[in-house]
Amino acid sequence: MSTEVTRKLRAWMDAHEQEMVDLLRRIVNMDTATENLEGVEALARLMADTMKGIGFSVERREAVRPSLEWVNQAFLGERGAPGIAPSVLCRLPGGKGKGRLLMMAHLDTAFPPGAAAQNPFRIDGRRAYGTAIADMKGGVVGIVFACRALIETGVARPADITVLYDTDEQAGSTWSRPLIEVEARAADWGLVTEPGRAGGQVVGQRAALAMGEIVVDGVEAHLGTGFREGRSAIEALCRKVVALHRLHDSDRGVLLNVGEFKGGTRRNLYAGRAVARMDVRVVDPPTWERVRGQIEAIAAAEDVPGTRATLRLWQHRPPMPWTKDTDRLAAMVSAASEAMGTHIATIPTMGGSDANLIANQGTPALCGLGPVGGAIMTRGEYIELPTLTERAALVAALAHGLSLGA
Amino acid sequence: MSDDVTSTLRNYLLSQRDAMLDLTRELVGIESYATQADGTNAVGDRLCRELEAVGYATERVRGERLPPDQRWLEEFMLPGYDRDRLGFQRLARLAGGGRGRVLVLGDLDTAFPPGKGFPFRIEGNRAFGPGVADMKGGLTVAVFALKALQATGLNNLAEITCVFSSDEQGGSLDARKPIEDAAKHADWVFCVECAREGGKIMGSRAQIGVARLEVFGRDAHAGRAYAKGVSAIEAMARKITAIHALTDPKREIFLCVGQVQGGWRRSVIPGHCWATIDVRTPGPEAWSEIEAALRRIADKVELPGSSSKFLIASHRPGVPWTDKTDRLIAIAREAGRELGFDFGVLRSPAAGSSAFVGPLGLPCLDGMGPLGGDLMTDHEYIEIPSLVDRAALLATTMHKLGAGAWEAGGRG
Repeated sequence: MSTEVTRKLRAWMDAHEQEMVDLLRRIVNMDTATENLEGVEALARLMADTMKGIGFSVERREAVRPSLEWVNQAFLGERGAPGIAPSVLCRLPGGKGKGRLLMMAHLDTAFPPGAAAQNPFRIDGRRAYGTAIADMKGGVVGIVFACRALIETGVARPADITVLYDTDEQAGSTWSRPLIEVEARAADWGLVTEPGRAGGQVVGQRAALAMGEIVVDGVEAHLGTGFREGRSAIEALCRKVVALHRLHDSDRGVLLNVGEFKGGTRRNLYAGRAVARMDVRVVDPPTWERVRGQIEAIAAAEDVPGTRATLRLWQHRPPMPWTKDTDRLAAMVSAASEAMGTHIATIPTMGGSDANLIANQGTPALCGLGPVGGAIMTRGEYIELPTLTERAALVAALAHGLSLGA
Repeated sequence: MSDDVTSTLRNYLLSQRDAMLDLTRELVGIESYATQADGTNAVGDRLCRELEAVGYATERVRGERLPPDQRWLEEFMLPGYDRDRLGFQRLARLAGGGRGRVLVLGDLDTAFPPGKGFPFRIEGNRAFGPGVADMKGGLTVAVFALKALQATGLNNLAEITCVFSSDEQGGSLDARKPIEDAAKHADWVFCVECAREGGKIMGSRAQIGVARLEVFGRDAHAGRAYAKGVSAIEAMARKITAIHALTDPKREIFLCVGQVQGGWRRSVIPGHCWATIDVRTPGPEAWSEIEAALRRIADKVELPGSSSKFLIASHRPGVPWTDKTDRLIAIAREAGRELGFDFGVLRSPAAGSSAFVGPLGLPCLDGMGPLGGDLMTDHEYIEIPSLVDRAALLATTMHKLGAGAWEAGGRG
């Protein structure tokens, strides 16, 4: 990967900044909540047309309903969606370089339907704001222009480039997962344009993410008169919640949050049932094995005699560990950014994304390659505007560098 | 007196056995959750029609709204319901030439929300139905006991008053004033909740109240900003275990967090959690102690940055067990002996419509209704033969009071 090519790509990108901003404005203002199938479909069509326009062959892929219905309910079901819009799968053969590169971005957003209209695209100083602008409309735009830069500058690029826009990442990618896995296995590398970290870094390692549900069944009985028979599911679950939160240990790479708790039906009854849902993030596979065992033990403990708990755990984002390949990718990021006159570091995070699914197939992957952003999932979500072109140029430079077999 | 009187009343009621079962079936057939004003009004109309036929004057009345600082209780008891639309409280009154004044209490509403009932059915000696024990069977007992006294010409009291409540399951917030007003003009009180544990009546009722606890933390994404979050669920979980630990069955102190809800997304550290608490104590002293302990638990800051809001009110003062209770029990026991059965008496850790007569110093026997069980379930039942037994027990006991048993010190 030469400094000269990187600068060439960067110059091309800078020359197209206004076009990038225009596309970004347009798609930020499109409402693409995961459950807003019409909205997501409109963006999917726009991206399909855009990619065809720059030379890709494009097909739409129907998603697959997850075989575990409770998993589906916990992700898509709770957002009231019957299904998802078909993914956009784009292919560009004919690159002069080697290998197959998979690039991914998701078209859906975490915001409820209607959010785009309430929080439209706007620029204020060096930042651009708007619904899901960082996570990840900025990254959607980045891939388009990275590909165009590779094509239009005529630099060496991977023999085959696949761009996959999925539509349920904000609902755990449970429907898209089989398609992602097939494409990941076929690829030599994966680049995902989730937002760059607020400190400017890209992401080389991601946590394992799991979600869990504990349902405690007690014995419903009237307070006082049913004191002897009553077994409060709420009490039992409260003890489990306190024990579960004790597993949280950010120094050892364990984040555990009980995000939902619901129990009981009437104020004067010992609760017959209580349900808690949790989010578990762990740094690596051995930690996952340890924490999973601890969660299972907490669930199994009979905190209140006569109560019984059922635990369901589902790892929707397998770990993306730091490997030797990650070292190589990080070195390329470092070199390319320095060629552009800046320094971009590669770091681990405790978040998860589609990059986890790619890495889990044994395909080296980098994430956080979209523009640098912050205040994610709030009304103040933003990107640092100068990084819109910078990161797209970086993606193009990485694609070029990988194709050289460096 | 008088085994003759007792058998006259009993024989009359035995002749009404089918009519009692028919009325019970009819009342059970009317859905009457507290929010179903048409239902509670229809049950009230039906009872009043029976009593008017034997000379009672009846009235539709209303209680009073709570003062603004206690309005949260109204929303708490019947969430989202417009209290102005409640069914009426019913008064039925009959003045007589005898002595002593009896107040009979019953409830028109049931614990079964609209559509949650099941059809009335009879299997052997049991009748099943939503609210058949709590307390439509008791309404039948009350009406037929009073009818028996009139039909046999044995009403020897100065006044009999009935208050039928439309919102007992909603905390009796509206019924409270009519019950208290009627109790001011009464000497003895009977309430026709179903008999407990195979026939026991209730000599005392607990002081009960409710509380609402809200805990506030801070929402934050569990992946990106864990350290910025403050989990209201964690703080609440610790408070709940502390609240339940206040339960002390030996002292008849019971607490239960009946409902809790917190958070909205797995991946977000929850900034809010609420819980409802039901509290029962044997009387005002224990109540004050528990209330203070609950306030300490509510105020405790488990996590830096968490805070709470706590509301508590005792809506039923309860009925203490006094010497007068013993005296009234003795008279009822004597009536039972003449009818050929005995019954136990218990201290109830729950409370209902009768809970407002305690502070007035009135003795009250609750659980004068039929034998029943599995309340609030889909197999709530009563023992059919106990309809007659219990109506006879109530009528005979009332007659003994009119005949001077009380002045005789409860020696029948």
